[in-house]
Amino acid sequence: MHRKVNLRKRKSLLVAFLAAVLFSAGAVPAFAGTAYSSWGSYAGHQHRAEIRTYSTYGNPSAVGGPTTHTDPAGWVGVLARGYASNGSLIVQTGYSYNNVSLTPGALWSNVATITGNGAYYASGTIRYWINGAYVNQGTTFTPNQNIPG
Amino acid sequence: MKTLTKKLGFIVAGVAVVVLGVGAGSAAGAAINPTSTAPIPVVEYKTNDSGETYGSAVGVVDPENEPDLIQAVATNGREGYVRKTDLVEPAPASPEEASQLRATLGRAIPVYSSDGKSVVGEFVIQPGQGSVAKG
Repeated sequence: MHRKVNLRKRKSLLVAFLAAVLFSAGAVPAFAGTAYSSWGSYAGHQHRAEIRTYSTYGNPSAVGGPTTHTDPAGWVGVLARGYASNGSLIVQTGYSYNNVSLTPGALWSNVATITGNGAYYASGTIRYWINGAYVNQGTTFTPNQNIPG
Repeated sequence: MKTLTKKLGFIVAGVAVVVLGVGAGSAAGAAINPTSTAPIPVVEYKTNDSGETYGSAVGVVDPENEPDLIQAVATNGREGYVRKTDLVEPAPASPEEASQLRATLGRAIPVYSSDGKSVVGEFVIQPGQGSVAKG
């Protein structure tokens, strides 16, 4: 009898544990989509920019960096934007510039925060220093994402 | 006793299948964009009496091709337009200057009606929060 009660307790604990695992698995944000800029090549330097979105959060993240050369601090700036389904701009960050050198493949990131819920589009812009001036390049747009209520 | 052990086994197997399913769904999200439902609107600009173009910037990849007045929502919830030149700060003079701008604070800019003159609210530009990301 005592053993049966113990087993029931164990069963309850196991079910509670598995329910917790299941809940946390559902809460993991899904990487929902990426849109890219066209590749820019200036004086032999190539850069790229992306906008990344996550299906469960309103935090579009713009990233950009060099692909062929190392960029010293201040050479790369990125900003992120979010738009409502009707095309209205709802969020934009200021430009953020790298404060460390970026080796080829390294990316500088800037995250926007959208409050509330609903569908949105996102895009990003990279600004990089080349030949004594900054050049701007935009990304394409992510398909609209939904922030659950 | 054996029956109870069997039941436990079934519960564990069942929950494992559900957990794996949720995980696979999250991973698949990157490929199939399950939340993507609406097409990106077609870009059409109108021109106001001052000769400024206005409309949505959705779908415009080259920043140079954005309208003069970009459709936006003010903090008071009203729809209007922000001036492109207000929205994006001028480029710094040098990378050294850019490095100093990393921690800029957010700032507010006016939201206009389509005439580009009547102010209907304000739009707050968020501060940049830069960091190194994985490629």
